[in-house]
Amino acid sequence: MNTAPDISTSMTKSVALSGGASPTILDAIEAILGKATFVDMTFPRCAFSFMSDRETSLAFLPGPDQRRIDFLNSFRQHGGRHPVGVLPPTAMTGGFAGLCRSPQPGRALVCVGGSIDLLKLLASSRGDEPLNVLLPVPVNAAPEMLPSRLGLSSFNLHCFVEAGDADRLWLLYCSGALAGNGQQAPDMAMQQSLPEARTILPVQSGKQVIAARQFIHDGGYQAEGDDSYSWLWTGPERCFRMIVPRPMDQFPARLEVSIIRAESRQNLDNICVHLDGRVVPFVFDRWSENSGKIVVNVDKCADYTVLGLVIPKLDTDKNNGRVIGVCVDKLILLPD
Amino acid sequence: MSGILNWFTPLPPARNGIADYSALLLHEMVQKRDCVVYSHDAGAGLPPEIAICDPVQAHRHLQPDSAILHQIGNNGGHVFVLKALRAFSGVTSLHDLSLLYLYELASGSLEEILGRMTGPTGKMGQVYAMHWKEQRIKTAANYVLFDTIGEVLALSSRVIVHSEYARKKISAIHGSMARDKIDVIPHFAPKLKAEGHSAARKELGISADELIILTSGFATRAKRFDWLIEALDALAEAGLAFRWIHAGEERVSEFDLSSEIARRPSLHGRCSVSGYVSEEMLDAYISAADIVVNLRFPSVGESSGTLARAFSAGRCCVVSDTAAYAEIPRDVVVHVPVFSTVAALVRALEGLLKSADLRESFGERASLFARTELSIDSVAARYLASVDEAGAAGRTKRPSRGKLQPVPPSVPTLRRSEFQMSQPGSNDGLADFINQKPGAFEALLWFDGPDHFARSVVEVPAFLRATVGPHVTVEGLHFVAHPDGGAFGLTVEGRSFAAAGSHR
Repeated sequence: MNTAPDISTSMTKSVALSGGASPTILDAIEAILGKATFVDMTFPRCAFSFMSDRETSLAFLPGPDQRRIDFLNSFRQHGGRHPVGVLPPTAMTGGFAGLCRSPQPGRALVCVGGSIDLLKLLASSRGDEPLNVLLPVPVNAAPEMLPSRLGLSSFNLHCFVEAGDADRLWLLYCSGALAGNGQQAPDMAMQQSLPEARTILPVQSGKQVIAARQFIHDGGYQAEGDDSYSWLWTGPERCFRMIVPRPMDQFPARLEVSIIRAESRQNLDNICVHLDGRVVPFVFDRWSENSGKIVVNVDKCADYTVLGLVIPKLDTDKNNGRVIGVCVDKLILLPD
Repeated sequence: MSGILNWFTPLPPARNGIADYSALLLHEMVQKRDCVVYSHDAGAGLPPEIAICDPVQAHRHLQPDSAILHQIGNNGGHVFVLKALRAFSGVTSLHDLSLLYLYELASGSLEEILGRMTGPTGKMGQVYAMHWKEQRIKTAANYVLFDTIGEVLALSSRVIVHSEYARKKISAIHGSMARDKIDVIPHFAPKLKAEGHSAARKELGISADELIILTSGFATRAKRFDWLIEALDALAEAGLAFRWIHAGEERVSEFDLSSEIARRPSLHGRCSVSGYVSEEMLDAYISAADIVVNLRFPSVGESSGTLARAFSAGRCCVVSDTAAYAEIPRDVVVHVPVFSTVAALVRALEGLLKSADLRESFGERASLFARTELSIDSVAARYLASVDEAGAAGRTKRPSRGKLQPVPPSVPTLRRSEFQMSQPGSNDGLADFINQKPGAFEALLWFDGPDHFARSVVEVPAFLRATVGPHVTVEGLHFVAHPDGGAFGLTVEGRSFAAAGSHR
């Protein structure tokens, strides 16, 4: 069992992992584990997914409400390229085992979890595979005691990350060797620079830009383009919905959606915006006859956030016959 | 009961009569109760206090005791409402007495549709379903004979229909379970968006002294333009002055209106077909008319929005004496019988064309009927009474089926059973096993040996086809050997789309 560290001491420490830019949680995790692959189980809040781009997959525990499952299951991640993983309730262990198998040799697997129940399930299904869990817990929950309370004596607590709302910490629990699976060794210098392997990192709280290739959406086509620039067309449904990620559970105060092309002016004149399924007021900053930016204010809510665009009239793409709405290239999350 | 009334309905600008109906009713309802509307449409022109929400995310907002009203009609604009009813029970306003076309659009497979056809109508449904499935014969009669409303009746806490005819027909087919939850609320008479008779005529370029007979909507076969044309031909030959305007679109696949008019020389110059008209223009045409003719035969129990508008405008109306139209008071409209109709229509129109007093008399009674029985205020109050009654019943019976109880994740279940095929053609129990419950099945049929199987096939050809209902898909057939040798098995794998509890 781990010896409980002095949280108050740990929380006052901060460390620069690399020269120049402020360290990120990815920097910290890579310093400890080496290159990693992530499964973000905070979906649909998506506290982590877009932060590491394509190295992250989304999955969720279905829960009892079939309507919620059907709704969430309609979303596709990575700009529409891949479905979101639903962990089957009848084969929970098998489902986790499949997800937790690191897809690339030499990379450590980090499951970004949303609850203690999840940690329990992960622990019971990990077998001999090294497993790392990034878990949010309340500040006052004596986080060092959690593994022992759950009977997870082989888990070590390695990292504190201070979240923006100051009510919770993001903790990295690791099993097995620190250095992933060995092929891609961690930066030992960085690791050694972590005081007692625990650090506090400021969560990025500035503007977050989510490219079309990172969208988690329903009612749109797959993103086009490449890693440097991407876009996607909505359609063939009139309603395009996308999950608004909450990086480390922070709420954006304002959203901006860039519409770079609409086939008809009417679709921009009469576009309707939903937030969590309710029509909301918005500002449309027009750039040209057929393009502009939608700006929406976001109220803090307890649940996850879905932004919807309802396109008045769909058009047919002359090049390929697709039924299309508008073309979107990015979603921008802005803090207060 | 108070609180929010949650609607699932299409809204304008969808070109859907029920969307317009809901929008008008919402204007009135929101004065009595807060309303939230779940719809894919923008709801242009609705009062700003009505929130419009994404129906797909309704589960995020509704509570177990939320009051819910579904507006269901027989077209594709209501597929999402049907899905919502499956998720959230509530009061359903049923605008059509057959939902077969809706189910055609909403179902994932032909067998699923056929499963609903073969429910309450038993063998007849099976025969028609088999014709559809195997010979691709689908007739207009299907839409009259098979209403496929059983699921809607079962899932709804109360059902609103718009005529006694509808209540009686549903009760006769679906029994007391349905009868006890039906409320009859007539189609309201909306306030017209037109200035009045003279102003409308001026707007439409109609002279003040012309006598205008008006028909409207899609020119379908059931609106009996064949009868009307024959009657007007006779009146024109008799020298009566009139002009007939059809304010609506032709539907040539059902009735070639323009060609039929052209075949009657006496009607040349007296008739015009406007094509599609907006709601505002329809109101203008109604206001400008002297006589509104609204025939229907056969009727499937529908009500007419045009007729209700004509009542509001105080127009003299002529209708068929059938179905819901027969319930309109005799002093409000002129009823013509559905047998020997042309002769009766000639006499009725002749009398009305010759007598302004007679037209005014019917018009005044129609106007009074619109302001009282069909007033939108009265209709909204009756809707709320139905919703509140459903809410009160729900509170005493909770937890009720279909409310926001957590739905367990669906776990596919496979029914398995074995049958000894003792007599050729004997399928005791097998047909029931395959047909009566929805879901995947696997039936293992044991024969004494290959000879027994071959003999059975010869003596009763296609025995499996005769056993399996049209609402069943057979997805696999495999021969299996009995572990003790000798006996010979045939495994039948498939899926039944039986509407639960409907197959006898």
